[in-house]
Amino acid sequence: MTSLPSTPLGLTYSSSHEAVRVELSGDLDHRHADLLVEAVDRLLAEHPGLRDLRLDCTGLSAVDSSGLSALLMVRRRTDRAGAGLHLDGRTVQLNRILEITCTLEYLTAPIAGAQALRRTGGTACSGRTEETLPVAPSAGPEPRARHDRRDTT
Amino acid sequence: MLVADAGAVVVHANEAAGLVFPDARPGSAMADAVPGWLVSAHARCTAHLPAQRPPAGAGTVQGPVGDRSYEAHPTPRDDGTVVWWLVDDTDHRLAREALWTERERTEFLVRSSNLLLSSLNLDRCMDVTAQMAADHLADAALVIAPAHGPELPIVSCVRGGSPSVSRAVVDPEAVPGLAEALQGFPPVPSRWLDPSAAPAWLVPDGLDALGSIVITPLPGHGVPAGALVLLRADGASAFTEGEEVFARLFAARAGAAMSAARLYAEQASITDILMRELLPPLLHQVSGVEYAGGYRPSKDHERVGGDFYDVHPAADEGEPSLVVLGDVCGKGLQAAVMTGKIRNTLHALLPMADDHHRMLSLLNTSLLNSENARFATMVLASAARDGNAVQLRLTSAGHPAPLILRSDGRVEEARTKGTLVGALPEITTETARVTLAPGDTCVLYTDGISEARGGPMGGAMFGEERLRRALSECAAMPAEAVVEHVQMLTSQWVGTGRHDDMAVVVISAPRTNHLSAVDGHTRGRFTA
Repeated sequence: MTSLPSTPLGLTYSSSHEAVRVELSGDLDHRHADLLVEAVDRLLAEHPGLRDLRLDCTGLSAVDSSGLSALLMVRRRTDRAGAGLHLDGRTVQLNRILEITCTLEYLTAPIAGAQALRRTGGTACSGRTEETLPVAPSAGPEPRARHDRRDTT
Repeated sequence: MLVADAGAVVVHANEAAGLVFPDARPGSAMADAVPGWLVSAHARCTAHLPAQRPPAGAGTVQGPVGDRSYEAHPTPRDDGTVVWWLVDDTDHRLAREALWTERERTEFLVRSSNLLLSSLNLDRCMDVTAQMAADHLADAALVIAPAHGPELPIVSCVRGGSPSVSRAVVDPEAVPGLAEALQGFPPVPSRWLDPSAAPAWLVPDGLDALGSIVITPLPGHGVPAGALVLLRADGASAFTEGEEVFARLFAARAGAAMSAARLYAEQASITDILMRELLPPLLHQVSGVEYAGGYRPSKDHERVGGDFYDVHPAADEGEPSLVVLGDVCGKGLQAAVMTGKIRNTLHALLPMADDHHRMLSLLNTSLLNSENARFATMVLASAARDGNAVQLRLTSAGHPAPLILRSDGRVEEARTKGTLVGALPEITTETARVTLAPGDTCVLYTDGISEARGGPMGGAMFGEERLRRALSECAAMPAEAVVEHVQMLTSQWVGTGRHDDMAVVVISAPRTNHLSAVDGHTRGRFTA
C-alpha cells in the first residue's frame, strides 16, 4: 500500500474444467481498470459455457472507483454469459469499498446478482430504512415509511 | 579528347570530341570551336613553362556545353600541347544538385516541424507557417484560417519581414480555389491562379508586381486548418512541379500543427467552461443553518472534476435545504461531464427532496447505461432549523457516512448506508435522522480526504480515525473554521505528494445568543 506511483495490474490465468481463475495483482485503478474488463471479455469469448469465473484478489494493492466500476462491468458480463462470479481473497481495502458502496452482495450473489439479491432480502444494504441517532429532541418516523423494506413478503 | 597547342589552336580532335564540338577541326582556333571556359582554362594551363606545369590530374575544370555539362581534365605534353580529356558529368551533377536540394528541404521540413510542433498556440503556428513559407518557398506567403463568423483570419509575411495578422471581411469565393481549400474536404490540389485575377487583399504590402500564385490547402486532422497562399514577384521564376510538391509537404506539416493547436484550444476552452460551471458554490448561512465548504482539486491533470457539492436553499422558510456532496468515478472530462449531469438532474428533482430514496432512485435510472458502469457516490443531507436545533436527514449512496461532531468533542458516524448510483438496476438506501444541538456539526467529505496518502513515511492513508481525531479538536468551532482545519491537516498530510480531489462540507447548528450570554468570555457576546 506504500507505492505511490501505481503498480501495473497483473493478470495470471489458470483454468480447470468449467472454471477459470484469474489472479489479480498490483493496482486496479483508473489506469488499469480497462485491462480487467478486456481480459474478462476475452476469457468469456474463449470459454463459451463457462460456469465459474474466480477472481483472486489477494495480490491487489489498491482499488479505486474506476477499479470498482470495472468489477461491476465484469459482473454484468458474467451474468450475460451465465457464468458465476467469485471474488476470492478480498483485501481489507476491497471489502471496505464494497461495503460502503453496497456492492458486495451484488458482486458476489450466486448468479444474476440483482434478482438473487431481491429474493434473499433483509441484509445490511437491502431494503430501505430510516434510523434516528438518539439525540433529543427525537424525531418521529418518516411519513413515507410505506416504501420501506419493499420485498420482504 | 581534344589536343591543342600553346597558341590555342586545335591540333587534334577525336570522333567523340567532334560530336561535342562540331567546329573543332585541326587548325581551327579554340575560341571558335569550344566554349569560353575551356579556352581560358587552356590559356592558364599553357601559361607555365613545361617544367613548371602542374602535374597531371590538377587543373580540372568544369563547364556547360549546350544543355549538358562536362569536366575537362588537362594533360600537358612535353611539346607544349595540352590534351583535354572531356567527361560528360551532366547526370552526376544533376544527381548531386538534387541531393543537395533534397537535403536542404529535409532540413527545412525538420526545422519547420520542430518550430510548429513546439507550440500549441494557433496564432503562433500561423505566424511560423507564414514566415517559413515566405522565407523558403516564395517571395510572400499568406496563411488563411477557416472563417470565424464573417471574418477571415489572415497572417501574411513578405520574405525577410515579420508576419502581420489581420482579419478581413472578404469572400473566399472571390479567389478561385480558396473556398475549397478552406473547407479542407475533399482534398483539393494546389491551384494556380492568374495573378491579374487576384483581389487586392491577397497581395501583401511590399510586394509590387505579382508573377505567380499557388494556393495549397492546409490539411488538418479531419478538420480544415486553412489554406496557404504562396506568391512570387514578377520576374522571379514560376513554381516548378517539384516546388509545388514540396510546398504540399510543408503544408501537410503546417496543417497538422495548426489543427492540433486548434483542437487543443477548443478543448482547453471546453474544459475551462465546464470547470467554471463545476466550481463549487460559496456557502453561507441559509435559514438559520450554517454551511461551509472547501474543495481542493487534484493537481494531477488526469483527475479533473471528480468531486462536487451543492447547497439548494429551501424554497420556503422553515422547509429543509438540500446539501449534496458526491464523488464521480473516473477522471478527466468524462467525469466532469457526468458531474454536470448529476448536479442538473438533482436540481430538477428538488421538489421531491423530502424523499431521498426516490430522488436517488430516479437519479440512478437516469444515469444507467449499458456501455459502462460509471457510477457516483454521494450523500444527501436535508437540513432545517427547528428552534435552536437543526434537524438533519442524511442519506448515503455508496458514500462514506457523514460524521457528527458534538459540541463536547464526541464524533459519531451517521448510520446511513446505500448503494452507489448509476451502475445497478436498483438501489437501496438507509436514511439517518440526526438532530444537531447548537454548536453541533455534521461533516460530509469525499474519500479524497480519508484516503489522502502521505504522512511522515509518505505512503500512509490519512484514514477515518485520524479524521475523527482532527474533528474532535474542532469542537464548538464555527463551520468555516472546521473546514479550514480539516483542509489544513490533510494538506499537511499529503505535503507535495499526489492527491485526489478533496471536498468537505460542514453543516452546523449555530451557537445561539443564549449560549454566548451564559459563557461571558466568548466573542459571540459582542457579535450577537
